[in-house]
Amino acid sequence: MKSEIIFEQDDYYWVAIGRDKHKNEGLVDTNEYLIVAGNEGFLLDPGGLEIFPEVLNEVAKYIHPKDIRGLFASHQDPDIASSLPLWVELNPDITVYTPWLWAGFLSHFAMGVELSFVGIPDNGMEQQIGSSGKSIYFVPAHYCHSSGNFSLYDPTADIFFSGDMGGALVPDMDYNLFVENFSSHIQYMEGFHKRWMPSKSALLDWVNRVRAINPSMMAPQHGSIFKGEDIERYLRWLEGLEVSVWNNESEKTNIMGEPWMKWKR
Amino acid sequence: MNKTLQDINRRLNSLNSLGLDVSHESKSLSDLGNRLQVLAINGIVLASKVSGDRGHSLVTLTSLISKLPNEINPILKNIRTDSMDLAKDVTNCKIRFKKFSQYSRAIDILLKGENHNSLDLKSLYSDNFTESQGLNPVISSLAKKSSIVYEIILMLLKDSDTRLFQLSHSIKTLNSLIKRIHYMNLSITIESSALKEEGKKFNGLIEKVSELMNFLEQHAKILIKDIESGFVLLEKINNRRIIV
Repeated sequence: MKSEIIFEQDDYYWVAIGRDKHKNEGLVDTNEYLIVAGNEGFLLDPGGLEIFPEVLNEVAKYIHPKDIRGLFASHQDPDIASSLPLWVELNPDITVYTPWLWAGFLSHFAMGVELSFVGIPDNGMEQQIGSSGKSIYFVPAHYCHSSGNFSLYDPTADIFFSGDMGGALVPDMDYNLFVENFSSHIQYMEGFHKRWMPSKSALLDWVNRVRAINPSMMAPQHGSIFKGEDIERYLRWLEGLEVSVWNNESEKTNIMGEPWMKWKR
Repeated sequence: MNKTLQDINRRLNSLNSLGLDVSHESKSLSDLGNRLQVLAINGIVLASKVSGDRGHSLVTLTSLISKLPNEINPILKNIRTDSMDLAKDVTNCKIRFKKFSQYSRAIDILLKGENHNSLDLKSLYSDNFTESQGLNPVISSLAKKSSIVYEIILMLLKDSDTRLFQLSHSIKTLNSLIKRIHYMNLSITIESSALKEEGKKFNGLIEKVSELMNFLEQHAKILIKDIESGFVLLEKINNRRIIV
């Protein structure tokens, strides 16, 4: 697993963690992000249970886990949150922030650990990183893709953590950390967005929010990070994308051909 | 996962399926007591039609058999409950074991210091942090977690040990009941054979009670074998030393 500082200003920095060459083939690759403010850390979408040892190893290069103040789970997926109990057991002082909608569901990952959550209200909220005085903002991203979902904006670094939005299933673990050629990157995002994103209107709402923020970097939970003009390119591409697509039209009209109809044939 | 952990994981899986197997076996026996009771009541009816001392003996014997399901049913119920609890305990243990193995793997990776040379650590840590100062507390904290998790596993396994003893005790009681029923069935055979033609009416009852008891005996043997292998598995898990 690799980690790289993607923003640094004095003692405030962002670390991107991911591209694990040694992970099980069946595991989808994920990016985890660590914000370090002085001696305090905030971990974004800490990842699945299976990759906890590797993520911890990367985090420990930058900060002691006891100094992690907060942990953000943007939604309920296992690749995002199933490692939660291990982090919380290691450091019981961590506060976990997650959409209020999923708090009770995430408790199913507990593995005998007492998990408690700060449920983020639907309209989002501001949160300070420990005692650093630095604020981050949870930005509504409902139905992008999860029904209770947040992105995160950090005005200090001007980085927008977009979760699954902008996500790409990249072909190998040497693939570039930053988007280098937007047009050729589309092929790795297209299927992911079409199938995982359930609502066009929610996407457009989210696009408006990102434009209002106008960040200099957009960091997704899968794939590569967008910088500068590539963010607007992505937003425009998203506006023109047909989402919530399952299979193609011919299969939709040929229900009889589907395996589950075998009983009727 | 290292070899020791894989070994323990494999044995926990076996113990888990063993609990489910025992539960399944006992489920298949659940209506056996009722079947025996119906047979015995039919026997009482037959015996009441036989006059004289032999009739009295047969009524007494069939009545005794008809009362035994009241003893068999709770035992079968206990076997089922204990085996389900065993499977539940081991599942619980497996969840904690997963946690333990992830901590253990984290320690391995941290100790190997994989990738650390590829980064300029001094620029990443604040001035008063060095690599060892940064990592050692993490490692010791994880090792502590691992040992706590392992202790929990051993504690849960102690519960499993108790459950296996309870199961073993239940089956011993069940076996002694089977012997009593066999003995009474034999007594019915002797008493009814002295009745000549009238006694032949008892042949069906004798045969069916015998069949039922043989079936129960056969399953009790399977259960005993399962429980014995459960004890062996537990001992092997307890005897493995996990070095983190």
